[in-house]
Amino acid sequence: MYVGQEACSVIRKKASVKVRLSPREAVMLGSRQAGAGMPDAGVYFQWGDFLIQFGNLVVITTMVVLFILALVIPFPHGRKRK
Amino acid sequence: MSSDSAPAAPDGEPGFSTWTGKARGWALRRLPADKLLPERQPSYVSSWIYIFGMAAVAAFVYILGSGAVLALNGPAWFHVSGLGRFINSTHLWSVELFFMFMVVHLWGKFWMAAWRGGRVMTWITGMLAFLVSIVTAFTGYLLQTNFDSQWIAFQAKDALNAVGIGAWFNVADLGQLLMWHITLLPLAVAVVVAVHVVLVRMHGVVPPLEAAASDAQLRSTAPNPATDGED
Repeated sequence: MYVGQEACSVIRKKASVKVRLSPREAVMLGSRQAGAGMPDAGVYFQWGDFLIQFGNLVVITTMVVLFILALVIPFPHGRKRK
Repeated sequence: MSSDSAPAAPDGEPGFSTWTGKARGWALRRLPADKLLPERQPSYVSSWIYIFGMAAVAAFVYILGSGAVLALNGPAWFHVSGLGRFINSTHLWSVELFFMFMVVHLWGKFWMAAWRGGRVMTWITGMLAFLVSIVTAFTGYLLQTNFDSQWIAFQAKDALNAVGIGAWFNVADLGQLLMWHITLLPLAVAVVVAVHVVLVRMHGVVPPLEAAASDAQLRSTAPNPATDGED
């Protein structure tokens, strides 16, 4: 058997074992990264169970604002269209 | 070739006997040149919500161009030189813009039920483009060759191994991922996006929900066998 496949098989077996996570443990991988002292871990905001990284919040907010503006702002009329 | 002497079909068009002629006739009936590159669009296209599809395509073109420059110069260049770091950054930011434009495009089309009027395959190819783009971007994040890409790879390997594809899509194999990222996946995105755009041209830009079916601008002056009868 290919070594990688054997390793995958072992990992799949481990992955199939149900692990009960405490609320403290059940956080986003990104905040685990922050806990591990990784460089540039980012800033996180939390409201109750809702946790989001600052960069992701900026991107989602920008998309929502773009969507609303695209519906509201009138389109400039250039050449006469059919 | 026999096209010059082809007998006329009942509708007045020449009847082709070769597979190349038949293929050309099939393609031209579904996508005549004035539909592929139209000079005019319906008035409802004059809205900002209709620009995000083409904005995503523009971002994608820049991603391909900057990606080609990065691939040809290599990590020793884009990690060290000032210009290399700049191109590397614009490659990332154009990906951010690509996804933002694509998501706003998706929201706009979802809320106007853009699968109407025989446009189901247009909708499905759009969703496919989104999914393949996510995989492509994922492999790009793995190629940063820094601590961040190591972190992402060793979190992702568990998920990929759990679904049984880790041996073939090995996030710890930088060479394999580089090939996925710079050849197969961009090609897949480009093909799916091209099919999506051609389908948009075949069926026309989807009208707003409030547009009346009897609206004159929704009706083509020439009959289109590819779309007529599908509404």
